[in-house]
Amino acid sequence: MRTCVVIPAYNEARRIGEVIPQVLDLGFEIIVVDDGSRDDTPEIAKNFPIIIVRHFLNQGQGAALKTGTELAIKLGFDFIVHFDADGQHEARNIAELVEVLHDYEVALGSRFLCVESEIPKKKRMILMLAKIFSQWLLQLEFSDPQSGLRAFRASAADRLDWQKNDFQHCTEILNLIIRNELRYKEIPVKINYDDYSTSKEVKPKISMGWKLIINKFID
Amino acid sequence: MTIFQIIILILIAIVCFKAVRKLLKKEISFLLFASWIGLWLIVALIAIFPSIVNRLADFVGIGRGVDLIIYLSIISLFYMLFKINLRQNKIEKNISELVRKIAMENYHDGKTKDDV
Repeated sequence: MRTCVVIPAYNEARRIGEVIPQVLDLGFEIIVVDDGSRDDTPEIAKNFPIIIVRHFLNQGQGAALKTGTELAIKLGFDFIVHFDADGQHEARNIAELVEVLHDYEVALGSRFLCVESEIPKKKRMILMLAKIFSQWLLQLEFSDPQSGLRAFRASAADRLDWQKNDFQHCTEILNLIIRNELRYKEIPVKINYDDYSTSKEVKPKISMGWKLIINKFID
Repeated sequence: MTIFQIIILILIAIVCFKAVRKLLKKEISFLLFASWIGLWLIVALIAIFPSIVNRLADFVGIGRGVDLIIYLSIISLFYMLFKINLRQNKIEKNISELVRKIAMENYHDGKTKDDV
């Protein structure tokens, strides 16, 4: 069974050179989707024996993940893992997610099932609000709806045709998992927070909530 | 004729002149030109004979002609905003699909050092 780790990257020259070898050392194949970076991200990625696919315009993480996932399916991989390029995710969790895929179609990483993650107070509060928002308004019963660490069987990923390019793709993917009645399991994962990864995060805005609510009703 | 009417007519003339130039340069379609000119001719007609709107307002049960124009303008502007929003979303989606398609067809395989 072949596993492909899809890493979307936008201006990640500072970190991508550390993240790629961590995943390669565990024997996984990698597709890096450079999402129109203006720094040396693609040049650094080209130093490794991996597949690199490039958006000539920045499209957002949702689009980058979709490109990487579709390419992985096209190239015949059996399992597909979404993994961040900023060093927040731990490579050792990939094997745990893939292990789950022998019994389930989707494996979702959750930082709230793990005591190891030292989530900054402000970040924890934002995530808890996002969780309450997802559970009450969007009716998504997941412990960590904003988690970007997830794995799919290729057959399951093929059924998840998410359209949102921006931050909304996380919620949309969860919605599609429910709508397609895919069997999923959440597992504890450790998320590393440092100044770099925290500075790269999308700052929460009230308009994000409105967008999610409007899309919930339109869909 | 009042100063306000003259200003309005001069502005309309400028808008129509620009529309004709754009048509001659083939920057806009004839349909868009005709709709644009048609709209401004109606505005010119109302500016010269404001009583037309008052009669129309009476007919549909709105007190003043000016109120009728404001109501219709607001409804038209909202509709145009909605249409522009739809068009913008469609363009963004098309650009995204194009970017993704080109990317998928030109990936670099670092194991074989091949550009596909």
